[in-house]
Amino acid sequence: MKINRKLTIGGALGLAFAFSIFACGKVDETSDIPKAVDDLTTDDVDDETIKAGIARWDEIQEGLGIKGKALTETSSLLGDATEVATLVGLHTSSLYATRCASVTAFSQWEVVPTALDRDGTTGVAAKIYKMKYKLKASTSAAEENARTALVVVPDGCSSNSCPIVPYAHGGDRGLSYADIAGFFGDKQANHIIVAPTFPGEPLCKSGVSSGTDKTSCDSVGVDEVPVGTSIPWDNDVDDLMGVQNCLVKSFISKASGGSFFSALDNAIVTKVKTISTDNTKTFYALPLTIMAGFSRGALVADLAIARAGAALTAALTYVGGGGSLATYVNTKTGEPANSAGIAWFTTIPSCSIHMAGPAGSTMGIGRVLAELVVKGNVEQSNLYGLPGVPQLNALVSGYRDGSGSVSKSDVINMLAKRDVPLNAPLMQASLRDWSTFTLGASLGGTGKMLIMHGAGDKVVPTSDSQVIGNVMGGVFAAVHAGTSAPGVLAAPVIFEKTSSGSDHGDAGFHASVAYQPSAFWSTDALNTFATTYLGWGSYDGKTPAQTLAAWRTNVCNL
Amino acid sequence: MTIIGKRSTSWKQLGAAVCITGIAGVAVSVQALAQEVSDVLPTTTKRPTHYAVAPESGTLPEKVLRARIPYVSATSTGAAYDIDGTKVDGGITASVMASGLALEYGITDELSFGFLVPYVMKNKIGLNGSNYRNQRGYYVSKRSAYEAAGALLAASGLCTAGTGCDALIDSGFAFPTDTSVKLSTGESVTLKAGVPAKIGLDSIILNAAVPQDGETGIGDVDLGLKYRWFNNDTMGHAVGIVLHTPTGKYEDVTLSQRATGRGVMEFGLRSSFDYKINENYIAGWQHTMDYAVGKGKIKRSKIVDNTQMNDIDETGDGFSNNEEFERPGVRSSGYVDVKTSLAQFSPMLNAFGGKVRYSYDYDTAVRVQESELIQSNGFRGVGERSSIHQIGVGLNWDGFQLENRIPVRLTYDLDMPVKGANKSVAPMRNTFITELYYKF
Repeated sequence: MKINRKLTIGGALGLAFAFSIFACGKVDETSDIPKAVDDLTTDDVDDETIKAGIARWDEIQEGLGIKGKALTETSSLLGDATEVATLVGLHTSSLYATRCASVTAFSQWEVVPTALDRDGTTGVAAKIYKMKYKLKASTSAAEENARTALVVVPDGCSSNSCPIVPYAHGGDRGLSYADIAGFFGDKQANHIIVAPTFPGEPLCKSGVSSGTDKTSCDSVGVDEVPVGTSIPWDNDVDDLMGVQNCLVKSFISKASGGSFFSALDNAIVTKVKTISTDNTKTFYALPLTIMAGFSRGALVADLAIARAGAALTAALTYVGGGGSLATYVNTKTGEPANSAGIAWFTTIPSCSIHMAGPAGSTMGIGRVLAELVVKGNVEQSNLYGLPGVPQLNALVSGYRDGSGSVSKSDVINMLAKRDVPLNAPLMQASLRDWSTFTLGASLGGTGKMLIMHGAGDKVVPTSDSQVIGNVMGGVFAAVHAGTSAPGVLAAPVIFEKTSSGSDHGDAGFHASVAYQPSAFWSTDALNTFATTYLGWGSYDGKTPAQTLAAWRTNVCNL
Repeated sequence: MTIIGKRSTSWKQLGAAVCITGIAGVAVSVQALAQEVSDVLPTTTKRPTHYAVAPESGTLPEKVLRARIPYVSATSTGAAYDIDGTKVDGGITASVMASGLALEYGITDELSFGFLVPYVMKNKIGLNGSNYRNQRGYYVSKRSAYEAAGALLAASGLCTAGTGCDALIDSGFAFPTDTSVKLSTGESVTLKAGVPAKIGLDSIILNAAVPQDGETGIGDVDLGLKYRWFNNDTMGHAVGIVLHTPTGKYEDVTLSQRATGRGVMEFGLRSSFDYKINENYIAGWQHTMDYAVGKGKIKRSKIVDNTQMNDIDETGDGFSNNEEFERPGVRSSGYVDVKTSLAQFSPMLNAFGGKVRYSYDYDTAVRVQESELIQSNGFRGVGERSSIHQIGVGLNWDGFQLENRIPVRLTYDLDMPVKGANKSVAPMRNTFITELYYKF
């Protein structure tokens, strides 16, 4: 075969050229690229599970008054009269559960019979008792099984010189004496401390469990098995108020010539300091009380103060409506409709100590936690390992699953009831200097609240203490702006970050010293309050124990 | 030799890589010198093969010059292979066109010299965001983005860095406030309050992967020598050396574009073997091992705006904006083929030849500071090895077989991917080559 050579070469080059033009394939346009990150909204979520979680959280935020608010902003419902009334109703719906029905045993604890300092070896002049007691299961009946608390009674405290300190322990793994010793150290020698185990939690002979079984304690073992079901920040609040009520009943009964439970009566009757010796003051004869708590327990203590405030508010509302206080007390708690019943009803603190605790659910890390619980992804968070969170998560599951067993309102109420900021108005109702209070004559002085937190706390962030300090300080500022409540003098003290430990109430924290971060106070009022009322200079550089002692003397005026 | 790019933002190297690979596969260097010219020219083989069936070990006759003009079209509709070798739709559609010029010269009958100048003519990429999530590059970028966001969450105690924070982010966690996340390049992006972090991070990754048309121009120039040391009636073997010079664009090309080169000088050794099965068929095997010589220079692009080089000094990931990179190990590539002349079917077809070919390429990774995760740090290249296997068919026409012996050959090849690993693009490749011969 013979082909024209020039034509062939030219044709070959032409083919090459043609390929260069046509050989490439078509390229699809770029597609399915999401919006720029700045333009994204929740409407862009396409995962149905996540969308449902967002919708749930939206409606819960609306209900809590925190929709669109920063973590440091208070709820729009804070101080709202309707919200306060709702909270009062929630807190007092089963007020009988905060009442001590009986003490069934009170004896020196054989495991650790006498108090020890933080080092676990140095003795402190106080004895440790184990108290078995029952709370009321209704207005007319006591619960079936006795609970357990430890009571630290100082050897001294002669002539009724020591306040009662209901103490809410940290964690949800039961009560360990080490928790009490760590918190109070040598202050056990001048405080009558009562610490419940809390429902569903054991009394441990030594340390609490670190395993999956929260009720098993450490290898030394369980001293008292759990009673009841753990519902943190709810029935533990009842329990804390209940043990306080046991001591109040005992002291008042014995002091007035009667008896509640003789062993307990005899142990404390000469030691408990009363609110005042001035009998013109309404509550002068009641035990002077400092409510205290650590970590999870700090929130329990705060809520106990709020619940006591709710009880007072409800009672006064009832009385304001023409009812009798005795009748209210009897109706709500089953206590006798007389002066004794009224006295027993009044579990009111003058001071409180909040150490390294969360703020609740509408601000700070607590709101993040609430969001995760409502959305259903808290189990993917380390927060799930925090005390009380699994229980709270389980409570909300009936709302998440859409079964209707738990309503939106139930969840909103559940969270509101556990929130310090929303409960701040109720806290100021019961936390005050009752030694200056005369019903109908004076408001009384401000309540005193010491808030301590380690700067390097890896369990509960210091921002939660900021939240509480600012909210309670805001209440205080409002008081001085001419409102009708005495307010609370909140004294947040931050301790330097330590290089070891978690700063969460551990040895490192107790060895650290106080300092005041410049950004801690958020308002001018708080600045004034810090410098004028707290006397910051006397706290700077002090350890937690020194701070507590100075505050107790200079601010709490004990 | 370059192989198809497969970086975190993996399309970015695709264009140049496809072109160079295509050209290399048919035209360049030692392999390209293997063709035997017709009996018009001095033959260098002792085996009486059919025309249009060129043994792999063949060299050009002395004083013969061959010019090749290849046109390579690589087209991908999205096929890719993940790191486990599973074929996926990787969301990258590509159309790359390259040409170039390969000149080869017979120094002696047994020794030939050649060089190739590739030229990228067209370099277009499309991206489907949904399918791009199947890519290794997306995974690595996601890993980096999750680490950045997870670090913030871990610092606040919400999760344990690593899988713990991954799980929290995947569960739909949304930052409660607008939160600035620092990327590995030092760029900061804000994840909006209430918007699940996972979709914010996804947006960052996919928007950062949106391509522009790639670079065009000259690629890496190859130089080679081939020496046939053994040749008898049934077998032949040649060895060759190839030098791949980094003349293509690489260092200054942002991640929004594809480079035209590999960025580093590579030295290759090649073995070319052929075996005459019978009078009609020749089998061949060619294998090349390339080693990177020294290090190349590489710059990092911004992630959020990948059309810009990163100029943020405090990157926070241990990499500076101007680094050197390595291609550790050996790149192994080659093919096995069987060729025949169609003259066995009809004398009318004696100018035509055909072949089937199985090719493979195990490419080296790109490492900056020995890191396997550079893909998410704004650097070009992938930190892990990749591979691609293809099956191809080819047809050629040889003017020397004509009565008046026209010194022109035309070749068409079609190669299709059949297997691979860690390949962000597995294109089908059409190659058309025009060859012209001249005897001095």
